[in-house]
Amino acid sequence: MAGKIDDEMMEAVAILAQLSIREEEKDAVREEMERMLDFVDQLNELDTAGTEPALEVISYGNVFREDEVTNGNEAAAMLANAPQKQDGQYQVPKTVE
Amino acid sequence: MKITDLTALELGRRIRGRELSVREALEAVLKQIHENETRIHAYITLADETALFARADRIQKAIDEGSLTGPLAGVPAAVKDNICTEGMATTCGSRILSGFVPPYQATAAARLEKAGVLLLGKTNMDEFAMGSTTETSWFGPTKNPWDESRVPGGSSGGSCAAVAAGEAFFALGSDTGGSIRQPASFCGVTGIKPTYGTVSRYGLIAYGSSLDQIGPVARDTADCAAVLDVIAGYDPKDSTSVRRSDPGSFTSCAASAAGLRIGIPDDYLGKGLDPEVKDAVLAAAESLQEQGAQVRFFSLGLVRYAIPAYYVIACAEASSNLARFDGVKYGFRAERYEGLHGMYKESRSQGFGSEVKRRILLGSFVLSSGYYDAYYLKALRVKAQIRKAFDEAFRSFDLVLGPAAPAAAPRLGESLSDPLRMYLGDIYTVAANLAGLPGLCLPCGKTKEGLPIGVQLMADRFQEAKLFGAARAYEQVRGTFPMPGGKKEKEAAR
Repeated sequence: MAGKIDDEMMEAVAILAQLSIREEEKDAVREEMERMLDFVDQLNELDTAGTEPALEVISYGNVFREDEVTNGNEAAAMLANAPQKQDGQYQVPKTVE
Repeated sequence: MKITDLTALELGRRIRGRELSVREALEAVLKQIHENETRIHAYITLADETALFARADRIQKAIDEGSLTGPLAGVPAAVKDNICTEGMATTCGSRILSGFVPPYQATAAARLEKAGVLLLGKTNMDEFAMGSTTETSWFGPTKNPWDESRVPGGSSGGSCAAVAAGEAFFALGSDTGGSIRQPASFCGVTGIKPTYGTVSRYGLIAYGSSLDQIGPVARDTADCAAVLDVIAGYDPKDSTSVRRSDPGSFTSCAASAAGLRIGIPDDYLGKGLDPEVKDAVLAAAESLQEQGAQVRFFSLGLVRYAIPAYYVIACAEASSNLARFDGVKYGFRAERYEGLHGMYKESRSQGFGSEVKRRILLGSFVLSSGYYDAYYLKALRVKAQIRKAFDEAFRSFDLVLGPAAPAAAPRLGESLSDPLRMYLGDIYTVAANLAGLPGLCLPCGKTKEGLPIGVQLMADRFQEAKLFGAARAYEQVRGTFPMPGGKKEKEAAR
């Protein structure tokens, strides 16, 4: 895998991860990822062609419930944790011009 | 004997028998916290003492009136800081959750409170439970009460150190890849990761949802069983919660090793295992054999693939679970940024530590288009094969016995420089999470340097009773495992 993560890939992963990687960190982060992926690549030694992916640990099928409101209006309690708020709303930077 | 040396069940008995008051128990544990905490740093947040004493009085009244009769009524305990506690800060050991006070209570914490347990505070942990040493906490490391130059293990290092140092009679931890069992091993306490789905994850801040499970950390097996009896049970608020009939009966599991078929994987005893740990673990197996268990070595297979499969799955789930931390609804928001996306990125980049970011990046990569099949689906297929290997083992054995960690606790600062090496330390524990199995770790000896060594027992899904029976049988022969003397006492003795 070494050398497989190019600048474009790094940027794409950072966008998916919603993280900013500083220019001076890039090489170290890339090296770490490649080292980890090299380690993970040993999974390819195993033949898994006939094995279904185990999506669940213990399978009980889907779990359904009625879509009913069981709690009260907890808006004030929820908003109490907001880093910035205004007029009973979460405050965020302007998103549309 | 000091009050804080009592087991949780013994303390509960004395409180019900009017030999001790709830207040006396609380005073004793707070004294221990005041004496040790500046050195050990097991807690991130301690509950307000006035409120604790008020609650102690209410519990005492309920016990006196006969409305609170459970074995843990009046017992002070600690909760790992990734378990939400209403009105008490919950940080996950992360800057990004600084200032977060949950408006609701996790089911496991609520069940403890209903049983009359006093919640002393929130214990330190690796940030978002990602780490094996409790050194990745934003709030600084926890020290191992047996040797303060060493780590307590992780990620439930604060919970295990609190119990070992007498700063709580028991604690809740969480285990995604060994995070209860490995620190229990390092701190000389007993911990169990229950079968996936046994304890509700409602209010447990998610790391790897298909692997996470809350479990007890305590002085001995009987205490662990009693705590599990309280916290286990079906919860409609967790869709992976399992309906099982045996919670409530674990406390009464009698010591029993006779006739148990115990398998020791050869692959767990090879290269990388410290000889002192190996000897102590095999001596524990011998002790069980002397009590009538049939012990046999076997080849489990696939052992070296457990860690790479685990890291792909855990990081993939983490990258998705941790997407919610964006500086909008709770926790940390960066001061300077440009635009909405800039705010997300800056808040996350400053709010998460390097180990968390490393895992989010890896997780984002393995889930990304073009790599999903090669990495994520591949890991899930390997997980299926690992589960099958255990299913086969449990056709021949009731229990699988092995170490919980390759060596005793490392020194502070030794592990973080080489993440991959640190990950390899989870080799004996991650498989139980991948396969959903219960695993219990209890102390089985000490190294020449006086550090605790743990032995791990694993059983098939839903077979916790076998774990408790065998562990109690072993304890009867081993005797009470000592509490750490700590450096202070050693120095005083000189």
